Amino acid sequence: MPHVRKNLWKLPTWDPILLWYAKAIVAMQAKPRSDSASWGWQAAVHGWHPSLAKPGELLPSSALQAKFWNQCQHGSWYFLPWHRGYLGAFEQIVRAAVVKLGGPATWALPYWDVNKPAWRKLRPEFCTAKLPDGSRNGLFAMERRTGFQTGDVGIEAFGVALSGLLVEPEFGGGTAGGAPGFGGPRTDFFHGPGVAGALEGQIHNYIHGRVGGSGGFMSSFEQAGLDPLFWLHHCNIDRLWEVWRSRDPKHKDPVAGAWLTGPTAQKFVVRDAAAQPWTFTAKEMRDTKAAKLDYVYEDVTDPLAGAATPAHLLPFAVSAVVPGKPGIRAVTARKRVTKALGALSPGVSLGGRRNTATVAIAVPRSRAAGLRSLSLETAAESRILLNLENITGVDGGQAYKVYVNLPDDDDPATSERNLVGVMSLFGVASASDPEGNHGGNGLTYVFDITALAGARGKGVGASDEITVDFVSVDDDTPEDSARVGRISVVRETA
Amino acid sequence: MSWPERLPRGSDNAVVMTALGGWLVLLATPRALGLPALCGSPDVLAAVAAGAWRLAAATISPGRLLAGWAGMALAMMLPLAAPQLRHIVRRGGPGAPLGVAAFLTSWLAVWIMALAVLAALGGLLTLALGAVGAAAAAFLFALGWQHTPTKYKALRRCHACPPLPWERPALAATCLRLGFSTGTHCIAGCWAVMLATMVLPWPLLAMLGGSALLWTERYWRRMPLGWPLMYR
Repeated sequence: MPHVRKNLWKLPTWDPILLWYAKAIVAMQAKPRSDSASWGWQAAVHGWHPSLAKPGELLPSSALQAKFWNQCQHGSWYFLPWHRGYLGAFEQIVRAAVVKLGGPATWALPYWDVNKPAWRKLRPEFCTAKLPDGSRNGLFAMERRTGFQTGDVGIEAFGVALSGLLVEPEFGGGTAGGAPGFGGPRTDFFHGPGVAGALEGQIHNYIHGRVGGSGGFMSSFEQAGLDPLFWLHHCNIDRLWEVWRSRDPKHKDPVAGAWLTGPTAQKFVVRDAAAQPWTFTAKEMRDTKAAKLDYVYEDVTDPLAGAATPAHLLPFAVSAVVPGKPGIRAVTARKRVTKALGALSPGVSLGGRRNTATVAIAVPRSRAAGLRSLSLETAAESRILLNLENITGVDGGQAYKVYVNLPDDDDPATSERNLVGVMSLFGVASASDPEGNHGGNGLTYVFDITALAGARGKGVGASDEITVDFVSVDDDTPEDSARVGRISVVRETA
Repeated sequence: MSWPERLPRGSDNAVVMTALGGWLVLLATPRALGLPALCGSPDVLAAVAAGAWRLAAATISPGRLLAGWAGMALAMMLPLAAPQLRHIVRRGGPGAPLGVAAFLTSWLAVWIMALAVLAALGGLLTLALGAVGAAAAAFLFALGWQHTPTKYKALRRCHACPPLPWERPALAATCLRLGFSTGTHCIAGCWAVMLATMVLPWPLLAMLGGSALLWTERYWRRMPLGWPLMYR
């Protein structure tokens, strides 16, 4: 019988699941970081920087660090399978600690679903420093967004909307300006960030930033795992993978060998509850009931209640079908043709409330048919994508609402018209470091703006330029706190 | 992973083919040019040692040296610049071919200059320590350099793919700068290995070995073993 991961917000106050989690965390935090069952080791598997070491702290050897630490996959089609394996091993380690403390062997991580307004807060158990018996509460961490003690970290509906991402027909995608897919673009081992997939880029990054705030654990790769909420948040992200797969028969995991058995540059390896190395592949992460994972979710009901795939995305699903193979071969954007229509570089510096950039669509006026073809009416198998490239900054807690062709007289604070998504800066500090893993290339977001392309009036295609508005989610965002290096408009054809 | 999936596509194919061309140049180089000539042939070194600079200059064929250094840079180093070339092709818009040309121009120029300096350094080492001594010293130095923070910081800077302008003149200028910066960071990271391949016996084998090492650390390894030392 698999373990059942339950909805965090449906648990009674100080349910044993939370109580034992809190106690196990305290026990894990007491272990040195060199112990694979310690809290510090577990967080370092996701990300680690030597500057975080405390003076005199006992660390594992460089060889062990190179093998086990700094593995998190972001901006990659391994984002979901890697985190599933990582969470699976973590859950077993916590369960072992729970059992050792006298708790139940049925213990499993709960998931933090934020689909309902009442669930978009931190549960009180995570906001108090003491357990009911007066001992230290492992669920509590000060390194969160200012004012988190009230439970309100400002999570709003637009940031956790699933309507755009659960209808994404393909799991994988490309990094050449086309859609990155539901699960992220095709890469090899990629300790990102890079081009965020739909799930990662929206609800995942947004929650990270809202909980972590400026400088909090959840706002950086290297410390995110130190916050007990991280694991519950990622359970929900993992659960949404199950929701995506079950809500539409066309939604399939990649079948490419590169995904199933990769990556090649380095294998995913974590230590299990017995402190033994466990090497896993994406192929082994497809079934949560497999022996090494052994869990199910309490609820994988479709929150969109069967909403159909938008018409303009259907060709992207159908064209990926490989004769003789079951279902959709949702692997990569290899069959896609991407064409840049225009770009603005240097991009725009971001700060306060509303920052506007204008991107010229570089289609010659003499080729009016080309300009009109931006519209869906003449390009049925195309989608128009807004690429925000080389996003750099220092504060992973910041987020911006992104609008396309927002009328000057519209108040972005109240109007959701022309909102195409949220650009959250989770991981931006390491992404901006020129001596970081990816040379300071920053983050990249891709938004589908096809619906606006087909619109009348100020829709894309009705003019030879588009405007992109960045509206800071927080009022106190300082000027020049982030920069979008380039803004481009790309047409992707199925 | 099947072989077709492993094979590079698009601009990567061009990089692979160009690098293969570089290896063919190195392989086909006649003995008169000789790989040692890249760092100073025995005749040249003997002439330099004797102070016969005119004789040394006459022995060296600048064209052959340039061809050899260009071949060496393309064979060993161009695969390391594949991500930048891919970036220009993907994000360069209609001016991408111009951007690629601009990148290659500055990238190749800095590499040829660096190889000229390294060749002279290799020659001086050989003069000072003899062939065996120079080879041993360069090998040991390269081994040590591979674990320095400077080497790894330079390696990571080699991953930079900056935003590219849409307009052709601005794109060309950006790609020229990118070729220069990619080349210089690559030189900063790889110069010790390149020097070693120049003075080790059987240079072609040494170059193959050096290339395998540099390609592996660029694409296959994600974190150096000496990484924690970088921030101490």
